[in-house]
Amino acid sequence: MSFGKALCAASAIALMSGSAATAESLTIAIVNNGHMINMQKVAEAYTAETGVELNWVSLEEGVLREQVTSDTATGGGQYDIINIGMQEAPIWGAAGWIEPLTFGTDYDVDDILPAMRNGLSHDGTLYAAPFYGESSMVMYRKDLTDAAGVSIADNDSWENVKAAAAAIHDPDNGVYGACLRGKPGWGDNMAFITTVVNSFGGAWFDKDMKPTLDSAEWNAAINFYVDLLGNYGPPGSEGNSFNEILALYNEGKCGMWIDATIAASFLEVDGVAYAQSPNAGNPVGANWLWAWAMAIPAGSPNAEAAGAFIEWATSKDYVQAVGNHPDFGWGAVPTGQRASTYAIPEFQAAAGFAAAELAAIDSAAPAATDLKPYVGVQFAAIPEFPEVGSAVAQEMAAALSGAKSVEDALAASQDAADSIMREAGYYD
Amino acid sequence: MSDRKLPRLLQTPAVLLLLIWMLVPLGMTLYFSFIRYVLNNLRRPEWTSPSLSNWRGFGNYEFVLNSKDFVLAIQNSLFIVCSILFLTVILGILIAVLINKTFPGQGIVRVLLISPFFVMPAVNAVLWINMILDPVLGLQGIAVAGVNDMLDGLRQMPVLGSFFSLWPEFEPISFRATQTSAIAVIMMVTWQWTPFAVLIFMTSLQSEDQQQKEAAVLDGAGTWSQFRFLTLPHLGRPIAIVVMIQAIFHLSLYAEIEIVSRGNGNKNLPYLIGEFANNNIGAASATGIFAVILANIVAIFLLRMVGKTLME
Repeated sequence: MSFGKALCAASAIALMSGSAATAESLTIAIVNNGHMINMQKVAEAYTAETGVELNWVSLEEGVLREQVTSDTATGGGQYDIINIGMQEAPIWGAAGWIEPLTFGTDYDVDDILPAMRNGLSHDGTLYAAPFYGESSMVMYRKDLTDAAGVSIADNDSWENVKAAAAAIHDPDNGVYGACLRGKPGWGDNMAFITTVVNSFGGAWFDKDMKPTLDSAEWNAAINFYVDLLGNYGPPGSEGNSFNEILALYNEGKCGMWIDATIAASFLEVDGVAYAQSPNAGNPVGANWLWAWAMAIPAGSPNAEAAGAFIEWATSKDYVQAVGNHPDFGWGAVPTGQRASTYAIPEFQAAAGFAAAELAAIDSAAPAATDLKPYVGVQFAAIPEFPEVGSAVAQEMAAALSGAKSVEDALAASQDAADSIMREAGYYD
Repeated sequence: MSDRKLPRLLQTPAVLLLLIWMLVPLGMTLYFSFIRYVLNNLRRPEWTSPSLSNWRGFGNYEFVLNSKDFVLAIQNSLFIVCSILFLTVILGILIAVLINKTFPGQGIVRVLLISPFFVMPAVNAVLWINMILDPVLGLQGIAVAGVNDMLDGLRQMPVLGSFFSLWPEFEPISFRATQTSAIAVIMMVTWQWTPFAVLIFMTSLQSEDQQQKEAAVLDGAGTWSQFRFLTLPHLGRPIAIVVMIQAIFHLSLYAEIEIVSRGNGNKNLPYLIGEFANNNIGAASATGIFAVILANIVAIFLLRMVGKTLME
């Protein structure tokens, strides 16, 4: 009661003083990645300008997903704005769990990269606004490849990549040919493995949504992956994901790394060159597509204020605000979301990887095709995917450790995926 | 009889509260385990909220029993608990006997010995897997690389070189692999819980009857005989207590498994519940019931053991 009275009093005073500011506050659940952490500081200007109080709940990726899923599914209403990714946005939009987004003309929706817009939409309606986006690419040490007399081209063949990895592999001096993800998790090793499988012409499900992990394409792709990483990767690859490999790379232990484009901005090693992901000839492409985006849970009482904040945080002005911020600068602006960002001269000067990143994002195709009858590149945009992906991820790690043969691991994966899809009622 | 009515009546609120405290969560879990309850199933929206009309009988149990890792989870639960109990009790007794004698710096040694117990489980796991066990950047990797470098140097020596060239290069072990991740978890939890055992055993040793020991010495009993026939029986009760308390804690290990291997080759029932709980609440509840059954079986054995030693 007393709080309500205080609120009334505060708004009455605000009204009387004729200020536009209202005593509104927004609760925002964010993933604890660098760009989001920076946003908390940049947004102090937003609060100063509009008077909207911002309460941040910063969580680790997996925990955030769990929290946000249960809160949204049960209509808990804890958050006014949530951070979700490309896997959730189209599904939750279809389920009516998040509000469709509409923005003013100043916002320039067409400036958002088409791959991002498509991946975050359902039936042509945008349900989440991309805060930053990423694809994947090859990052390699030019000094090592030059010394070994090999080269890596854009969209090279996997055989060439393996030959290059073999040429620069020198474990006695602590340099490993290829650092790739091996840590189990649908967003960890499976993100990379799925792009390899895509490039070999495989997919997660057929048109009846039956898993196809027992197909020849999966077999060829996983055999290749285990062979490449097993022979030319660092020991303990089954424990490596983005952060672990970044640490190895910056210690000078990695010759080549295929991972998220965002990694390029954290590399502290000199002489890094970039190439588009290898491909075995499949038009779907071999690089992934991901965005961390902001959405409004359905029925949020502060939907209007939340929409206004999202409009600000994903605008061209926000990019400028980070670039001109004394604490951050142009090397730290969120990328991969807007075409206009790549045209800013200060950004181009600060980011040597910008062209390669933009090309990778533009070539990724999340839409469903005959080959891949579901939305998503390195995942399938269905609610059951995290479960399927995690189960398969553990089998792939077992194959990589040598505890299981690739055939056994794939057979177990197929069984597990089949039982999850059956349980979910896709077929009997 | 009537004089006992009043105390019983006065106890009722407390007993009722305890019953509610226990029965409500258990009842909810039982209820969920018999219905279809899937958080975000878009194809069957009726399954997304708990309701009796989604009654499924033993379907959830069947799904869990047939799921890929159920047997592994039970085996691994028992394997991890038994290994940790065995190691902590042995190490605990050895260390407790060792530091029971007075020696200079005793206080500092004891504090250092106890300190692992105050590290948070997640911190413990992160510390061990990244800084100690990592095959490249951790202590293990650095040590193995150092030994290999040294061997390389020895191979260059004029006469002995040919001898050392017969030696193999050492390979660092990956403790996140399917085959070894359970061992990594056992190692780190043993490190953390040995101090607990040491603490309990040390307190107990201090209450050992010294006159009896002196008598034994006079009778010509050696150190081993003293330990075997006096100290060990004296430690029976504290061993039972250590085993029981630790079994309860280690049946519910989670953080270490998550951080070391994300369940790769190494998961227990709580971890399996966690995997289901992301989406399939029905299956998670059924696994929970299995976990309750397992915990009760373990508890029956333990209570008998403790009961026996307490009776003696």
